[in-house]
Amino acid sequence: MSDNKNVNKAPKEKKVKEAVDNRSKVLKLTSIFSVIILIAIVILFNVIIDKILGKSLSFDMTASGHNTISEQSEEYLNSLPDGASIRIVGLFEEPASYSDTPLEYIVPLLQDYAKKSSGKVTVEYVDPTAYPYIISELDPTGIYDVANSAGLYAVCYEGKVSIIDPYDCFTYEQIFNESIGQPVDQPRYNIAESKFTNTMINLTKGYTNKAYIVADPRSTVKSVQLEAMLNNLGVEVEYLDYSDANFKVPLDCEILFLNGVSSDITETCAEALNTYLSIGGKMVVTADFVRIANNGANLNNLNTKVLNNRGINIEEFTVRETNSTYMFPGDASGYVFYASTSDQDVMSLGGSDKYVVQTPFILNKVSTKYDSSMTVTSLLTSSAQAVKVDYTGTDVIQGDFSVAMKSAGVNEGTYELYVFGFTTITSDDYMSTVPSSDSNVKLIRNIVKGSLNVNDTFEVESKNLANYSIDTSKLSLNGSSAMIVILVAGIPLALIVAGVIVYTKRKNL
Amino acid sequence: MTAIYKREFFSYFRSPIGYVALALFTFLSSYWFSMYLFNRGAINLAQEIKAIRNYLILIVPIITMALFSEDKKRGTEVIYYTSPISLFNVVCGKFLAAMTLFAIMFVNIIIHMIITVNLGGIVNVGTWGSVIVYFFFAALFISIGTFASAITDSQLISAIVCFVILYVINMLTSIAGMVATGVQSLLSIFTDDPEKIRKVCDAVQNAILWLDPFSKTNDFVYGKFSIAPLVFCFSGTVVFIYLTYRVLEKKRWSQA
Repeated sequence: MSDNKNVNKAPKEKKVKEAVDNRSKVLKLTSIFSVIILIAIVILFNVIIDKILGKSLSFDMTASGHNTISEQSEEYLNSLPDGASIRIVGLFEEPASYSDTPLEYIVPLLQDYAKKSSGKVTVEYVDPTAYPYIISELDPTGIYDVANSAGLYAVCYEGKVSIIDPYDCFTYEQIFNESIGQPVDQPRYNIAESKFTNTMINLTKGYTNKAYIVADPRSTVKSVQLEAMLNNLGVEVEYLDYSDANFKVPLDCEILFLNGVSSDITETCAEALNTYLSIGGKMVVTADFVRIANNGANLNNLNTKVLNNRGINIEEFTVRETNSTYMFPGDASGYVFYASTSDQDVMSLGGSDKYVVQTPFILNKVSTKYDSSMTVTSLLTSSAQAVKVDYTGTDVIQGDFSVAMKSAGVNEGTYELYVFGFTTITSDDYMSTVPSSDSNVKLIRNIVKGSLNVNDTFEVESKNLANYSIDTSKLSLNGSSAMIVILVAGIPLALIVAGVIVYTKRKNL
Repeated sequence: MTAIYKREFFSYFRSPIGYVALALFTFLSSYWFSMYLFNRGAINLAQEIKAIRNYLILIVPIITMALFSEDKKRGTEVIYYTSPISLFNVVCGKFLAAMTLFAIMFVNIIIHMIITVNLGGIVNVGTWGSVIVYFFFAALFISIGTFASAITDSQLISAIVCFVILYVINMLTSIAGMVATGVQSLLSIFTDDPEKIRKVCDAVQNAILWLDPFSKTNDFVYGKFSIAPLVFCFSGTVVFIYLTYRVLEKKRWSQA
């Protein structure tokens, strides 16, 4: 009987084992397949999100729109003909991380150019060290100096190349760094979009006008910001030296800048400028009172041979403002102040009735030279409480004084002359610390646009950079040291001690 | 799930693990904060949070190494199989407990934010972008740590496995560069067309970088928010939680 029982039991156990094995096999297969299917779904879903919806699902949350191109740039891209191809090549390996570098504001922006250009703009990164062919591909004749542009961007269109240095995509302000004991350039505004858009405009449309900047031979610094502003308006810029014995104004000059005059011009130069104006030239003069006073110089040639003939004279005096409503915040001396205007043209050009001036020359009308062939108008004046001050710093008289004037021929096609007794309108020091929407910058930009009849520009505003600086006056050295000791050592040590106590208690349980 | 969550969360403070992890995070984050405070006179909290992300490869293994391996070693894991709650809830409970510990660690950053604002500094959109990425990274890395803990009964091995996976992820950018260089050398044997070589190398590099959560989320620090990288981190988290569940579930049928 028992034998029979065992015989019956064996197949039953076998059957149960088989059933369990089968169940395990099914569960195992289910488990493996479910994992495979999940991974496949996840990969597919991510590819769809990333490649198809990725671009529309990214948002620029910065207040100034650093990572997005503006409507002006979009408008320009839309104005490009179908089939236009602008190639932006970063001449370096695409960085995996670009925190705390200028690329932080450039790489995402360029992605947006590519995204919104419908294929007209492409962005790529090619390290010329690893792939030297890129140099001959972009610049076969070597005229654009691509070979020496590693680390920079090359913007290419129909064989033309323009190089952009990422560090030039910002304006800088010099601030004193206490920890290293010397001044350093602190970025103030992001002009990357302006730089790239205007470079593309100039490559695709070419420069439409020509300006000359007559540079101060004593100055080692060029008018970089002024040049950039002119370039952005499609104006090509060249420099002339006013100490040149054979000084001549080239025939193709459409507007001439006598920028930051700090010494008198030569007679040859004066005669050339006079001739230039007499044939309908357009000229902007800005004068630097502080440097002229420090040099003990005068402006005899400029005054008598050029400006006086157009009814304007630069006096050897400056202005100190005493009216508190005109004074510049933070400047108690009164030499930096807001000059006002009642001229409707100036108000509409600069978008303001007040403009920042610093230690300006006083300008006067020269009535003896003034005749019906010209109109001379005061553009900017001080308040009536301002004081006239001579080279030695002695107060002379109180009154309202002109600091900027315009003289123009009444007939069409005749000259236009703008004289600013200060440099806080075209100097690098000023232009680099303010946004492109600043009133002074707008005023000079619109003067140029009006003089050259430039209308179809795409003006891209500069963007504010986040200022992460802290107010060190709120934190004494002792206070900050104590705070750091607590944060870096105090709290972690307290936590470790708590951990040790818990460990000891558990061990003794 | 709540019971598992509570048990696991409080267990961090009944052993030295929670205190050590908190101390390490506090030290590292405060060290970065003080570097900014003293050396630069400017505090960019987004960069601090970004820097701390790199230290997750140290902190996450400490937090997750005991999640399942400890129970396996003690044999108390049998509770999960015999109790009425599902294994998936067990995994989620433990995962959420570890996430809560990470949220507590984040109090350090909130303290730094308060100090920064009081000193006239700013907490801007880049900072909040970093915060979002921080939590998505934490979720992804903790799920990896949870998975590593489920495959072994040794805390040490679990921590090492987790560290190695996270380290490889951290190194993906360098790995992509190295692979691209290798491919370039290899292809240069077969073809002379440098542009073709570059395009292939770029494709290989981009394919590897597609798996790199660090490079995907770089732009958050600069205020550019994208949904795709967050979806990537979230789906990675789901995959590893599911894998953990499956590893535990395996015991139900593999020992039959």
